[in-house]
Amino acid sequence: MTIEEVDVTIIGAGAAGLSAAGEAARMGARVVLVDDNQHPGGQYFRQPSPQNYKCKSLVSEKDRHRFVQLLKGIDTPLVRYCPGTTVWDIHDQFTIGLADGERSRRIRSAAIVISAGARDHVYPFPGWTLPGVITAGGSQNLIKGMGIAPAAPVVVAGNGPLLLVAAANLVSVGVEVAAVVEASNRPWNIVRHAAKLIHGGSNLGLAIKYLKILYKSKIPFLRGYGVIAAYGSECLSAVDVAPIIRNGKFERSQARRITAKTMVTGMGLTPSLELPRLLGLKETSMPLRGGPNIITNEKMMSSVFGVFVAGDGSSIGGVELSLVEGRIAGINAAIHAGIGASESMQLSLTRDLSAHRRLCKFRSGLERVFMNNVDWYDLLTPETIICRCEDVTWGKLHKCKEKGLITPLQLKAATRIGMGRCQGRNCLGTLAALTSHEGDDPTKEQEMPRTRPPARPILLSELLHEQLPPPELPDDPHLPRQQD
Amino acid sequence: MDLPKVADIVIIGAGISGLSVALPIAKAGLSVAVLDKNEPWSDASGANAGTLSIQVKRAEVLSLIYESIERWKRMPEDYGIEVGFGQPGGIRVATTEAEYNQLEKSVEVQKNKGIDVRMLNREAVRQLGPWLGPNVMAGSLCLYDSYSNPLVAGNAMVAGARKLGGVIAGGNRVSEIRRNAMSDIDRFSIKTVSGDTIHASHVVNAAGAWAGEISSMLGVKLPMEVDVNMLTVTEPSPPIFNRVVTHVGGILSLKQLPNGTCLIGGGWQGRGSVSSGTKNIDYERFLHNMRVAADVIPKIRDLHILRTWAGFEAVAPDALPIMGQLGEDDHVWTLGCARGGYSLAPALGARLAEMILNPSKRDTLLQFSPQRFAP
Ligand SMILES: Cc1cc2nc3c(=O)[nH]c(=O)nc-3n(C[C@H](O)[C@H](O)[C@H](O)COP(=O)(O)OP(=O)(O)OC[C@H]3O[C@@H](n4cnc5c(N)ncnc54)[C@H](O)[C@@H]3O)c2cc1C
Ligand SMILES: Cc1cc2nc3c(=O)[nH]c(=O)nc-3n(C[C@H](O)[C@H](O)[C@H](O)COP(=O)(O)OP(=O)(O)OC[C@H]3O[C@@H](n4cnc5c(N)ncnc54)[C@H](O)[C@@H]3O)c2cc1C
Repeated sequence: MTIEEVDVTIIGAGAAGLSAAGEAARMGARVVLVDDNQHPGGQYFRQPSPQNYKCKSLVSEKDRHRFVQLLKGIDTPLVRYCPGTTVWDIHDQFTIGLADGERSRRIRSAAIVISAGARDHVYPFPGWTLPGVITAGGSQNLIKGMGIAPAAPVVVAGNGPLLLVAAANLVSVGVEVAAVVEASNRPWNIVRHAAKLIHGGSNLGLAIKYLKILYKSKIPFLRGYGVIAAYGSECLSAVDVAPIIRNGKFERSQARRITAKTMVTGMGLTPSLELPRLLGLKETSMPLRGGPNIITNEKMMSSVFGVFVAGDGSSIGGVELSLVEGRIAGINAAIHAGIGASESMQLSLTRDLSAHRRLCKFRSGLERVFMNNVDWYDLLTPETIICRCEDVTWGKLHKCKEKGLITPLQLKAATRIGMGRCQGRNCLGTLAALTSHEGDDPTKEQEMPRTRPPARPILLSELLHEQLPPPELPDDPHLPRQQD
Repeated sequence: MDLPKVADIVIIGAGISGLSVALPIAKAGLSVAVLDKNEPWSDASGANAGTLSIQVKRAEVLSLIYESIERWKRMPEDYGIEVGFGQPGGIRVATTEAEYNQLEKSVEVQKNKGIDVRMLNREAVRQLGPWLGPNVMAGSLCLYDSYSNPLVAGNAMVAGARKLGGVIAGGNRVSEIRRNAMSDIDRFSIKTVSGDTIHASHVVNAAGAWAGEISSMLGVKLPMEVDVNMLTVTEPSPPIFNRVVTHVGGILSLKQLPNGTCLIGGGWQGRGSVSSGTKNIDYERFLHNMRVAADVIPKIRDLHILRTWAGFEAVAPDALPIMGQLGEDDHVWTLGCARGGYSLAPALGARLAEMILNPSKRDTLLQFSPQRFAP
């Protein structure tokens, strides 16, 4: 049994992972770059294969060029890129278990960069599981990744900058958008935080471009509104929108209906934390930044020595920040693996660090523009599904509560919430929020189910191939214990 | 939760051991408080596989295991609670010549003890379990082998004990047990970390992997070791097999629950220790466990694994239950540390409750008394 050894393992080939791999290789590190998609690029840069392209390409010249550069960076014998491969375990500083759909194997490295990106944060509301209700990321994947346009008319609803991006992209590919529904209602915040926003650089240009697209298309833009329910028998046919009042609740008496075949919900992103949690990396709660974030230092190193986390997988910051963080993490991971940094690398690190500071300022400005105090859980009705894998409704959880089952662990046992195929990725956050003030001591954090391998579901057959030393058989448990 | 000031009996540990004592005691009308440092049922009992197998048990506990499975089965009648019980019968397999011999011997011993178990040759075992792999060369069958779904049983037993007036209080770590002057109600003051005190006339140590720690508080040394057992669950699937499957080497336990998920265990050890509080998966042993499982039931290869976990299992040096009076004082009791502790607890708990309630019963099951470890 031999475990392959490299200097740096990088998980995720999105903006952060690609730039980390490029920089680490530029330093001379031997890198393994693992990504579970068939194509590199992650959420932002991934492109469809041309034959699948059914709608207009959205990739700007600039991004096309940047992507080519990123791919060039990993086009060296030092980088082994493993597409279609999932990291399902990390143990023993730092051995990863990776599986490609047929077999699993292990790679060991001196340093590790987790750049696993983020996923859409979904707050459940009545009808959110209807076919036709998709996330902003999903919509983006459809049009950018697969070249497929979602069925029109589309209502785009939620909160945050990605909403505008998703809407503008739909308009750009010629899809009819019936309305954009944004929860926050503080346009003056743009002025208030202008000093921070000014650091956005190319982000700003992009934002203006998107706003122009939406403005020109004359799409109704409801600010301070939210979708309170989605309807349809087989699939979506309409949504109800209502204004949000001062206490963050929805004014249902003023609801109105909009016909829609697709609803794109964008309530922000939340870092993918399975791998960080396997390693027990320290987290902090950043409500404006996707909730739980990984704590990193200026090297992008987490609380565990040698584990670097970059991009949206650590804290939501968008593509520019992800690129910079990836570079910083890549260089530092290589240094951690014992590779010296040349003067020019040092210089580029310094440049990246100052870019990072600028982008962080922009980010905090942007976050404040979209800040809101919406109580999304106000939308729940007894029939609203909380956990779609196990079909657990809010009413079912409520019934348990009446029986005295109030903690996440009790509710999990009683309803199987979080135990389905998605491994709780979608519902455990909701469960944590819904139970945070329950329990004997409301100030105490509730014990949540732990993250355990596999980080993603893995086929049992994939585990049957790796060569292993013969097992030390467990003691026959039913005999007296062997004394050594 | 507010703790009572006084209880007839305080039980430390709200796992299967503690609750199996609490239920009959509460039913008998005494006041009982079960304290747990974490949420009730959140350690071994919450993590375990729920296999209630007769065939895998040591000869010494065979007389009890029947009774215990009967008690599991009767929980709905006895206490009005649903514990996810099923009795599909079990097949215990052998895959090598040596294992075959071992199985034959074991079946002989069990038969002599009056257990209804029979040996199946290659053809017979395949007829009963067409889903078994080609390497399975023989098996034994016991129709009484069962399971209880621990996820269901935990909430149910806690609710059952509460309905009978018991106090089951999580978040109460016992930090000190003081013996007072020999007044009956105030014999013991049990203190928790958060500063509460309960007075009780009996104390039961059912603290699982921490039973040694609680014993020390009572001035008694209890030798025991703690294993870190691993378990794996697959995605739900249409029925693949319909028995509780175990292995004569003790390296496999496999069952498919009514919801279609398969539970794979077998006593493979994870990593960690009670002192560090860590219980993690050991990569290689996990893989070995999966291989044994796929060897015995090849069809499960096509299932996705959704989760693994590990739990602390306390074991006495002789792997037999520890049950009875702890030390000199006949108001201090202990229960736990059995291999197959989940299967055996209802019977052991009921017997211990009898001993506590009825001084004339105090010579029951002396072979399991902690006195056997007295220096
Ligand atoms: C609708 C939408 C619009 C957006 N528009 C903009 C925009 O206009 N401007 C902007 O700045 N940002 C935008 N973003 C955000 C941008 O996409 C992200 O900031 C960026 O992609 C983050 O890069 P990343 O490398 O951190 O993660 P990602 O690009 O998400 O890459 C992570 C990669 O890791 C892989 N991965 C995860 N876990 C594993 C595992 N266990 N094993 C193997 N591989 C794994 C994933 O499959 C993925 O390929 C948008 C996002 C969305 C959803
Ligand atoms: C993975 C795994 C699989 C298993 N599979 C099976 C199986 O299939 N069949 C079977 O029969 N057995 C099985 N077992 C064994 C079985 O689970 C245990 O023997 C049994 O659950 C022990 O129950 P218990 O109540 O004694 O201990 P526990 O359930 O561990 O309960 C002890 C409780 O005491 C509490 N405690 C500790 N210290 C303190 C303190 N100071 N103050 C307050 N409370 C305290 C703990 O928090 C804990 O909740 C398995 C064990 C494991 C780990």
